[in-house]
Amino acid sequence: MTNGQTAAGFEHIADVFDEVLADTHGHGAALHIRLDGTPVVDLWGGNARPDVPWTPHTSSVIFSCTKGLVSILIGELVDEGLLDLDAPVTRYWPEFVGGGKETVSVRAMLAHRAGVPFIRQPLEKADIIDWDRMVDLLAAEAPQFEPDSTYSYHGLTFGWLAGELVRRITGKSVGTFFSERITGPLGADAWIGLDPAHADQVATLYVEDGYPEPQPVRTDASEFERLAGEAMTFGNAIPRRFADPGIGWNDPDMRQAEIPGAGGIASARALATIWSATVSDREAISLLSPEVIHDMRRVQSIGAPGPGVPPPWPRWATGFMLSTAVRPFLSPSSFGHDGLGGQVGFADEDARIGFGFVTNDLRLTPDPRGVNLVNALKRVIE
Amino acid sequence: MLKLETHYLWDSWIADDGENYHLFVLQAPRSIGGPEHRHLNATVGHAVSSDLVNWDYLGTCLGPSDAGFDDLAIWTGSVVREQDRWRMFYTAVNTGGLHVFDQRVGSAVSTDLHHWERVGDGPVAEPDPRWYKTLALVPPPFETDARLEGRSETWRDPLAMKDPDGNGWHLLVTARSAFAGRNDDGVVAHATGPDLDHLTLGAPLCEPGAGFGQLEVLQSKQIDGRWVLVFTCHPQEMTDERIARTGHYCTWSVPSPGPLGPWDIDKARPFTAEPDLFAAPLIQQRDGTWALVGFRNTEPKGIDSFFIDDPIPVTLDDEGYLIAR
Repeated sequence: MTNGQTAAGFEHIADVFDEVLADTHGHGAALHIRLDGTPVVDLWGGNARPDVPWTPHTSSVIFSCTKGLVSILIGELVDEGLLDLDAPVTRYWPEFVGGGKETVSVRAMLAHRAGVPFIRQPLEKADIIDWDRMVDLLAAEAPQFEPDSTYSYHGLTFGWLAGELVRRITGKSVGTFFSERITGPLGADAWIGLDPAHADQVATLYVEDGYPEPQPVRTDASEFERLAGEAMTFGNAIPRRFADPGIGWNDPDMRQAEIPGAGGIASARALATIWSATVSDREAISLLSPEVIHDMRRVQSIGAPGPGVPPPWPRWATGFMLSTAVRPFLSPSSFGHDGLGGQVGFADEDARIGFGFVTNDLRLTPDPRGVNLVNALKRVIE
Repeated sequence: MLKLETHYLWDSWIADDGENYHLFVLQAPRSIGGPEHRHLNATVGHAVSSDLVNWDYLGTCLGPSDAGFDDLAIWTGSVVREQDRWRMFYTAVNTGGLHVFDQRVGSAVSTDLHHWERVGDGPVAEPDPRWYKTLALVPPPFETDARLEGRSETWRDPLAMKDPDGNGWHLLVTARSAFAGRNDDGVVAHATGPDLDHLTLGAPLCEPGAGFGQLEVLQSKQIDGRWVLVFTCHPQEMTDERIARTGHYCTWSVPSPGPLGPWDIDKARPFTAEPDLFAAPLIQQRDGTWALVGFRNTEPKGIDSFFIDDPIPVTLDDEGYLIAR
């Protein structure tokens, strides 16, 4: 049953959310949309775990939506004049050299062009929850393609790369900076590195629809193609189903670690409020100047990420995901990031919209839920 | 003393069950990036003590609701015994887009002082523009389409009291008069009713114009047979004339003929022994003497004093003002 409310004129979105909720295998979901700083859609339902109803404060691992939030932090540093997007990464992180990495700009790195989407050696959980270990490995890793010659989604490595920039510039971990700069001032339920005191607030993740069978790797596959299968698991570090009971992203160690490529945790309200603060001056704080938004929203990586990769292809700006057919946001003025399993967070500058959808019913196969909700918003706005 | 490594602690209020003192204290994680952000992250912590010195911290007892007028943060309140249960009135702000400018009053009940159940879905009383400033009169400093009537940036710190003559209940609320200028407009709003679920708002219990913008965390107590009103007002919320006359202090008192005044707030004097003591409950100790138990608001001075200090012994002077003992 759907709880919450919608503002007058937004009722259609509640109808679509009802359908979404009916399609979550008895688990839970929440949708929050803010129009110029005011909530117009605030809906939730289902269960966070057995016999525990979803509440508006229930939070979920938001996976790659975290990248969008980290990109907001990057933009804040640009606004403060502390970070030049077109400077080489080495200006801030001198150890990030070798194999051409030294020429990579911050902007290219944030557009998935640094050449280190993976780490060659198989890793364990103990490695990926160890910040220093991961940034040392990435600094030493030889590029897997010529940096800035093309792009390839840096699914997990994006987080350590961008997060280390934050740490080098601010002296604070990305989770601490996130808390101090964004979630504290906004009073938002979101973390990069969960505060254990809030563990009960976080939904258990479920993968009911199964995991698509991994495609066999061709015998003549390149090293890059072989490594591509490891992009989200890093050897033994993360299970292939991502979140079975007590393991993967249900593991408290993983949730408490700062893994900003995928490990952020947020409620739908928090996600929408944070994005809203980038395009509305009516939130408790304003994030990102229009100049920085316009600069960071310019497309950087587009088209096929490699030979033989079939469409649809994503479009990346400087850290932000842009609207595409496969992941439609509201308009060309939208910027945000989706996340594995169904999570969606974005802002739309023209409409002054902040949007957040989270669920604990992870869908690893094509997922119409977020698309349908965004299309419902489109219909209402237009 | 109650000090938490992980949290800022500030305003507090106390319920005495006859055996133990129950401290309710606003708290926010220190991870939020600075004390200035604590207000949007505030929840109510609960600690128990038999001597007001050694506190057993029991964790959070009240946080934001799922939705509605109190779904963002919970602020200062009071607890009163109501038949066979306890009643807490609290201040709240919400996610509706007006932030700290939309302060409301809610209530909850408990039988053990730790598990609280909200009463109803709506706020208890809304400021009435016949007497009190609302956002319709003084809008927030940003454009908004939200409803501004019946909402106020100063509508908080509810104090529930049983009428000493058996005439029902009273609720006192920190408010601003609609008929006075900024920082000269602090008044005590008054609602009354036969029970705590049927309160009707009326005119304020005092006049504005005393140089205080907010009469915060009101307490009306009888010490050795004499009534006194104690309130908090930071110098940032006073007129220049008031500061010139009585100095930079935070805790104030004014003698009173009875529990509901009438109070001549202009005659208020500062508690000079502790200039920064803030929102400190005035509580009777087991030996019959009285003490203030609170934190020091030294944030504007850049000093971190976000903990509840040990009791400060107090009494009334010959004229009925609160002084250190």
